[in-house]
Amino acid sequence: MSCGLDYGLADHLLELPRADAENFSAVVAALRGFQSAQVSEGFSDRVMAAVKASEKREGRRIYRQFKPVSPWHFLKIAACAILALSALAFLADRWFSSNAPAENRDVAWLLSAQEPDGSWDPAKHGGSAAYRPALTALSALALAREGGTQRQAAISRACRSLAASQLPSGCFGGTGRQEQYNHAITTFALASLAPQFPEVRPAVAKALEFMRSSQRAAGGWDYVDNSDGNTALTAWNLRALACAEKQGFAEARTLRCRGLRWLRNAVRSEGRVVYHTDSRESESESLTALAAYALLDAGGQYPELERLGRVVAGRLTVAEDSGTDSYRDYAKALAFAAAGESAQSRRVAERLRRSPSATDDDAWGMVGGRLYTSALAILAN
Amino acid sequence: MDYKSADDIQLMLTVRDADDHQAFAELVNRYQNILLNYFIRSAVEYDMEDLAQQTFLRLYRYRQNYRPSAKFTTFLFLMARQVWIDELRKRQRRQKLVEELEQQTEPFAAAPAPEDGADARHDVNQALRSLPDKLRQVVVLGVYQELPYAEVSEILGIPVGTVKSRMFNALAKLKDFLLKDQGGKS
Repeated sequence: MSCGLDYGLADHLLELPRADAENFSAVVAALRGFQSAQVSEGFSDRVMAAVKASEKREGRRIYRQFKPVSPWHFLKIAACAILALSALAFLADRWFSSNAPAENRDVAWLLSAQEPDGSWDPAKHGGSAAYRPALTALSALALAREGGTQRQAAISRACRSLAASQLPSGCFGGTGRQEQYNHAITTFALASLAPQFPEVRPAVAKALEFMRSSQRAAGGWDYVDNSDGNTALTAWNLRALACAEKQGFAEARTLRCRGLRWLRNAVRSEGRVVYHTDSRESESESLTALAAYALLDAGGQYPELERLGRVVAGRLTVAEDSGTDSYRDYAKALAFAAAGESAQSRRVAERLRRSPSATDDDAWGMVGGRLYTSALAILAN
Repeated sequence: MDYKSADDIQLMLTVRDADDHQAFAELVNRYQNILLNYFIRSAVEYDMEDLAQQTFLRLYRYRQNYRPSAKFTTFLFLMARQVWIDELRKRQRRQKLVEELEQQTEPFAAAPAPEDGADARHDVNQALRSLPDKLRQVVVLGVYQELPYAEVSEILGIPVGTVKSRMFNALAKLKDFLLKDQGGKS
């Protein structure tokens, strides 16, 4: 039988012997019985924000209404171009002579991008609204790297905003993966900022309760069922717990010990680290760096972990990177620094600092947008 | 323009010719869940929503390539398929060492949260995952998206006859899988 343009599954089933058609119809009914997955709230807004940000970054709109240019217009365009080039040269000269460090530009931009409620909205800068707590936390941490009255006020507003977003369970919002990463990163930021902003301590204590309730039996953290933990999320939680432990939160120590045990067991032969311990996944530099940092950070208390951390960190290289990935470079700068490889840490951090704030090509650009690249560039240095 | 009542082709042409964000937002609203489900059923285990977002971004970036002679869904699913292929390649490029596995389980086999019908959904998901990708794609497009075979053929770049034979094989394997599963549980 020939197939017309509209020929589809129903026509196909009609051509089959009756027994096959009946069996297959039952299979099709079973398949179609469950098709109810829906995107998370605000998905279309995030897509449109990403489209607009992408257009802006491209810096070029395609003008289809092309009109022939007369010689007079051409002269005017040429004159404008010369003027614009002269102005650019002048500005560039001033820029370089002032020797303004890139992180200062990022700090200024972060200050200007803060929302009235104290948070930062990644959806407005090419990222995803679902990660607002995590990006607010990273932005506040970045501002905290340097003093200044204006920055202190901005960080204080950010802390209030994060504490206000905390739910009764202790978490900071989102579902699944977003919830877990938001929680780990926000807890890390609040615990880090607790010495300067003691009013965040109750929020940290509540956050640790949530961390305890979401820790898996084996000691790791994950956002999927049937898993004893994933390396990235566990490493972020360990970072938060290390900070909280230093700030005197007694509960953090127990949770951290369990998490470190999981991480130690997750490291494979020759220091290889993958996302899930029982998987065929490939190694990644981000994971290796995050795990190395968590182990080395604990090395002061547990010498065995320092030795293991050095083996893991030994797999990292400066030169073999491919593509733009601020998350990877940030983690590598931390890991190299913790391993005492300060020259390599500086090289990676410098590369991150020089990379453009545009996030089109960045592996995690769609998650964090410019907030993420700016904050991590500051934090890595 | 009344965006709500405009058909997909009108909207896409408006996006193509006028960079109209409202028209594009309407297309996003119409197809966001469809794309999400496309990735879920294509055995993408995680980041399905990110891939759906990437597909829309790619759709916008390549809007100039859209020709009304092609159905909008053909154009959209071609983009979605390419996004998934690129993602797989990216993961493979990063691969340096493949782990020796003791047991070959699915790495991200995330069971759904307990709810009514969870077992049945798990069975269907398992059955779909058990198919080779080339058979699964035919099912995803032909059964779930209910696309005509000519469109499936265009998206996958295979003749209509091959779509038919793959569909037959896929349904036969799914039937065996589901029957075997039922037998094992009884």
